[in-house]
Amino acid sequence: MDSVGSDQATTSRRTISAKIVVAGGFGVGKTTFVGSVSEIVPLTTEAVLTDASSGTDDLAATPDKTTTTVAMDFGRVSLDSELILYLFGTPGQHRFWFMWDDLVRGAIGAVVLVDTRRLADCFAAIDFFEDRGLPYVVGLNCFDGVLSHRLEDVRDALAIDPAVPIVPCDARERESTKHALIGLVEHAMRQSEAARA
Amino acid sequence: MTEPGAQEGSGETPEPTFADVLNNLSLDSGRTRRRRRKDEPPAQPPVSLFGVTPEPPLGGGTDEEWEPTTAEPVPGDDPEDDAAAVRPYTWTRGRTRPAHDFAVETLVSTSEHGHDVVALASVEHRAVAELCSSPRSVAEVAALLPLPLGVAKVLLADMTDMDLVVVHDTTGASGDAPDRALMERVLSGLRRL
Repeated sequence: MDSVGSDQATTSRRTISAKIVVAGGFGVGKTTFVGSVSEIVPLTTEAVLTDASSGTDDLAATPDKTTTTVAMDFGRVSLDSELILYLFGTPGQHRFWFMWDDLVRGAIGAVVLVDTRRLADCFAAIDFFEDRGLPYVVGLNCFDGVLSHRLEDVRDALAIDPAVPIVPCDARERESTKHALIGLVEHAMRQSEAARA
Repeated sequence: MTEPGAQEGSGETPEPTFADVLNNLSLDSGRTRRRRRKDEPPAQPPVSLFGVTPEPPLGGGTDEEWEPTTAEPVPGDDPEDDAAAVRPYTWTRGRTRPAHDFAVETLVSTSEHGHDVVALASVEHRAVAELCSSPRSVAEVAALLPLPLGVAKVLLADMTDMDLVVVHDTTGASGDAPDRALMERVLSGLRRL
C-alpha cells in the first residue's frame, strides 16, 4: 500500500468533485465522447451489452457496433490539484431511464449527443432534462466530419428552446469534446444567472 | 399508440410497474417530440434502483481477486466469507441501502485511521483503503473492486462509520445545483486542458 504523508492527506481531503452527464440514444457515441477527454479508460459499474442484443436494439444505422454499455459508464478529468470532473454516460437504453434521477442529482448539466440519422433517440433525454430543469446542450455528432443537416433545422426538429446551444461535435476528438463541455458550463452559468435575476 | 412507461409521462398515464419499464423496449421510432407545457404535471418520480440493484459482481475472476495472496488470519474475519457466490451481500449483511447518502461522484479517501492496517479487520476494507489512498469517487470504487454500486455504497457507509474513510464535501448529495464558484473553477479547468 502506498504510504501517504499527512500533508498530502490533508490536501487530498479538500479535493472536490463535479459531474457532467452525457446522454443520447443507443450507439450515438457517449462512451467515445467520455473517453476522448478522460484521463482514465472509461469505467463501467455494470454490464456490457454485446451483439446478443441485436434482436432488441436497433443497430441498423450503426452496423459496426457490437457492444454497448447498458449501465452507466464514466470518465475522470483532473481539472486542478483539488478538483476532479466526472463525466457520466446515461444508460444507453430507454428501459434504464429510472436510473437517471440518481445520475443527474448535483450535476452541472448534460450534453445530449444527437445522431441526425436517428433523431428520435434523443427525445427521452431532452424531455427528461427539460423536466428536471437541468441545463443541457445538444452535441450534434458529425460522423466522418460531415454535418448533414443545418443546425436550425435540427433545432426545429427537436423543438428545443433557442437558448439551448447546439454544438457540432466529433466525439472522437478531444478538442471537440472539450469545446462541447465548455459550451455546457457556460450555458449552465447563464441559466443559473437568469434564474436568479 | 400507447406506450406503457414512456418517458413523456402525460397526466393520464398510469404509473408504470417495474415490469412495464423492463418490457418497454420501444425505441420510439417515428415518434415526434412534443413540448411539455409548463403547467403540465411532471412525470411521476422514477423508482430508484441504485441502492437496491441485486446483481452479481462483474467479471469472471472477481472472486479470485478478492482472495488475499498473503493471507494471514484476521481477527473478526467472518468465516461465512468463504461462500463466494453470495459474498457481496454477506458483507452488507443483506442490507441494500447505505446509511449515508452517496452520490456516484462523491469522493472518499482513506483516513489516517484507515491507513493503520491493524484497523482493517476485513479483506474488503483493506481493498477499499488501498484504493482510496488518493481520493476516489463512489463509482470508481464500485467499478474498480469491482462491486455492484449498491454494495459499494453500503461498504463505504460502514467504513465511514468506522472512521476508515473520509467522505469529501459534494454538491450532489445535498441535491443542490453546483454553485457559481464551482462552475467557474470547472470552466477555467476545462479551458486549461
